[in-house]
Amino acid sequence: MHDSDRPRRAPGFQIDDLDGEAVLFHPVKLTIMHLNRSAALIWRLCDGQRTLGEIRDLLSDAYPDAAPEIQTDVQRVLQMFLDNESIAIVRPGPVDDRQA
Amino acid sequence: MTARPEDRGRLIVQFADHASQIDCTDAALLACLAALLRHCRAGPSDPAALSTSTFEVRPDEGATWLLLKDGCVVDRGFPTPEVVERLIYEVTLALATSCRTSLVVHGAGLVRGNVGLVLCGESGCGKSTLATWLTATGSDFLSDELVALGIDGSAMTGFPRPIVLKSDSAVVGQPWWDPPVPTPIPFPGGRIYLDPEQLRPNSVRAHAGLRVLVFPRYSPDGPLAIHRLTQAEAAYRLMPRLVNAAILADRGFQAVTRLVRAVPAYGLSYTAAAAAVGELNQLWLDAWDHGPGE
Repeated sequence: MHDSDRPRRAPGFQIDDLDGEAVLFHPVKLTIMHLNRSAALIWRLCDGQRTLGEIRDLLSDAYPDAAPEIQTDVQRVLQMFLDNESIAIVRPGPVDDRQA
Repeated sequence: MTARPEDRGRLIVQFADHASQIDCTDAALLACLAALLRHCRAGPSDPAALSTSTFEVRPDEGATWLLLKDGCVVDRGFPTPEVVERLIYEVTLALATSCRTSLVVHGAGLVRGNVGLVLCGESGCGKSTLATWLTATGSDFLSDELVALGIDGSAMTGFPRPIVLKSDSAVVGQPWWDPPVPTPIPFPGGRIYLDPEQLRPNSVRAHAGLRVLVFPRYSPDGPLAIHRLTQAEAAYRLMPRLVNAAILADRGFQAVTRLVRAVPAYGLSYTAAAAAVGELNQLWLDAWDHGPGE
């Protein structure tokens, strides 16, 4: 995964906040995940607009004391989401010369 | 004197909002089924108001049995012990998966006073062993297999079929264990079908207030440990244990998250059942301190 990748939440998932943590559930695929506070926040930030690097910077700015952990956690959590197909990665396509 | 339903070749059992009708013209086989399912029979006015599955056991070739559900053949060629086991399994499955008004979980239900506790987990986690132990030592028994939890998290209903134990179960040989009354037929693998009232008279209850969820895990080499689960952890563990999810809105997700907000949940890891029972008794005391239930 690259810093320029834009993770986007996959459709069909339901999320329920439970006392700061969350449970993510897909009623057709029957995928269920327990998300701690930071994972729940990262999933919500996966809007297909923000890049991985921007998500990491956003969280590091919000939680400066945890910045070193955030550097690795964001990548790890996004990889977990990717493995569970709860996000997809949006990558910029090749530049089309005809549109340039 | 009014004839009992089984005298007419029919037995009706109930769980939550569903009933199963069992038709069998063989008096001895029906009497065996009636004895095994005696705590699960539908009340006299209930069946007409319930949705119903119909099972039929017919004689088949070579002194075996044919089993039908709603007129379709389930399987044939069963010797008597096998048809009893298969029928109880099919009836349990039909009752559990047809319930629309509750969350049906794969779990054991026990109660003290009106403080209900559900041991929720996959096969092999020790539900039946712990349910046997708890019933023998003073808890009332709702089920060792299926519990219907009210959507609002306030009540639970059990399916008090016999407790099914392996012949080498950890409960055998305990001080309170008398050799159980032999079941009418020998079950495959030496399995014991134990009427909970053989453990303690009048120990079967139909309903209780739901107060505690416990997710036990038998861990042969691990220490005894119990810890409070977060609501998200509880929902994550409870969802896969839902038996009737397929017919519930959102597969029961919203109902589960609502329930775990209302009912405290614990993870229990244990090696010795006696030690686990001590922890569960402490949970009961703690729950009682917070109010005796509905």
